[in-house]
Amino acid sequence: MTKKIQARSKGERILFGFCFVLFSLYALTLIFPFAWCFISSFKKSIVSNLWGLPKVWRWQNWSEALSITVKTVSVPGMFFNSMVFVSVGTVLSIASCSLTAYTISKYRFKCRAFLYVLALVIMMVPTMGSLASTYRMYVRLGLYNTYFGIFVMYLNGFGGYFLFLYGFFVSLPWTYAEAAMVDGASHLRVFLQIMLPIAMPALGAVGILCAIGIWNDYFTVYLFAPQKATIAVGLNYVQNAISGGSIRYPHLFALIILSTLPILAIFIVFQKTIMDRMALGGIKG
Amino acid sequence: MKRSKVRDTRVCTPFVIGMLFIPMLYFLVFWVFVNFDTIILSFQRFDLDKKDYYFCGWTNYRQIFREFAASDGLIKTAFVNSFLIFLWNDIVLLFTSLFFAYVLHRGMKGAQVFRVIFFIPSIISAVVLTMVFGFMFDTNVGLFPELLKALGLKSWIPKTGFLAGKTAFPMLLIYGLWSGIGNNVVLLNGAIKRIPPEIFEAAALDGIGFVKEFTHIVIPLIGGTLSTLILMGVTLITGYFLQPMLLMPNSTEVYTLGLYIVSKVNGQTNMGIAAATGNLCVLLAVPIVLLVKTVAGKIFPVYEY
Repeated sequence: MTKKIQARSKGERILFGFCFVLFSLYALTLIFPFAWCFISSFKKSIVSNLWGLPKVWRWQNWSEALSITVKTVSVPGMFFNSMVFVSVGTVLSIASCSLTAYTISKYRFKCRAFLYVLALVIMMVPTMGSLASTYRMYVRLGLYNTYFGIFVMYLNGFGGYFLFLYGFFVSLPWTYAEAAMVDGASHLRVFLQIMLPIAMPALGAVGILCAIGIWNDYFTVYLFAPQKATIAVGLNYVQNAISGGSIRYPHLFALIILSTLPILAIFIVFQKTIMDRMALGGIKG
Repeated sequence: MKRSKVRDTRVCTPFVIGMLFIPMLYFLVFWVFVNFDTIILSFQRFDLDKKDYYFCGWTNYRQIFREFAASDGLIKTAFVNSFLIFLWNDIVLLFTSLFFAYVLHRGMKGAQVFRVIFFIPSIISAVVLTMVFGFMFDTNVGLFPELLKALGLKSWIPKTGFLAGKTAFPMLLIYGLWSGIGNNVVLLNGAIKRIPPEIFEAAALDGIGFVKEFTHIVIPLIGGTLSTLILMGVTLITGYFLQPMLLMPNSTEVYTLGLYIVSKVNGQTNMGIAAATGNLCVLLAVPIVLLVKTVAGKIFPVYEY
């Protein structure tokens, strides 16, 4: 009976066959460029040998790529900056969003509903409009081109992860807090020692997304701290510096692969968590 | 007595103030102050000699409108492109993704593998994605031009390359489709999965086919997600700039409102123009958001199940 229900008509079978070919071709366009970059990163030159395997596998391309310095920032320095921004930024961003999400979802106070609506409005109103003013403020306050200036930007408690965490904290039973408070625990202690540990799986999942976002972020550092270039910004610097001399395409390809590897590693390990969290998307329907 | 105590555990003003202090401070500085300052900045210009800003009245706004009225005005190109990108995203990209998500949901061979591969662009930086996309269409090293050459269609390759001139903007739209499907597929797949399986079973027993199930069951029941994605697409009108900036850095044909603002901020001497454009963008975006929200809500009402 089930098989009968699931059996596809001839038209559907043709459609699915067509879709399979279409999807395979699309998947190929997503994988091929990276495979080509990887193989080409071992070549001496890509112009003389565009499609073939390297005649000599030049592993030194990778070590040479790591010794590149563009606009006073070395490639290891770019990776270091990326690591600093990812580690500090993820902690600040998740901590800040947790504070707002937990408080607004669990506590009764005036303006509570207003703050929730405010978070939604902030997401919808274009931030591009205030870019010039933010830039001027950063220059005037001496935050331009500093680590601290970028760290401050991660303190947005009403940012994109607010809704994720709000949805989680809302569904968390308050009885744990009540029981602890009966035993004399303070509100802060309940938050730090009971609610946050329970929320760790959700915080971890959001933290992974946040870390990936910061690792990939180009614009924030490009505009507000170009001298603290991360690898995302640095790749663009390297591409613009390509010449026939010391910096060549194989070096850029090696760096593309190197910059993508940490993200792919995280994705392989946490693939289900990442995709499930994205699928939820805070959207019901 | 006991009930009032239980209620009291959710009320603690000092704790609430302490918890919200930093996020509210951030909001006051980066939202309230910055937006207020944007209004002031839009009436200012930078004096290169005195190295300070001075009040210039409506000059910045007048300049923007003059540029808009000119036949070759950059902001006019940016305005038209931004709207086309919004429509492309909300119609072509969204419904292509929906079709992909539905086919994968129907249990196509290798659906899980496809879902994972399609998602890859969502986790890779725009810098890397634009670079590898650019390499594919590069007239010297790209796969696509090489294919055309092999097929004897060398004349199809534009002299300026695919990423410049008349083909630049269509290529930007293709890039958006190529890189954007995966993220939407995962979101829409999640929404389709939440439809109770009994509904699909009942539909199958009634002999409903692929197309009817798609149009009469799937689309209406994921209306909430579709409305939200359509609404999020509005943010692209002013927020889409990184892709054209990285993919076609020297091409004015692909200018968007966002890229127009960024180019003025980067120049540092046209901050007033950038702020004025930003204010106009907000004035433009608010009614569009409300209109799109109303229309999307009517076309895709949310059903409880």
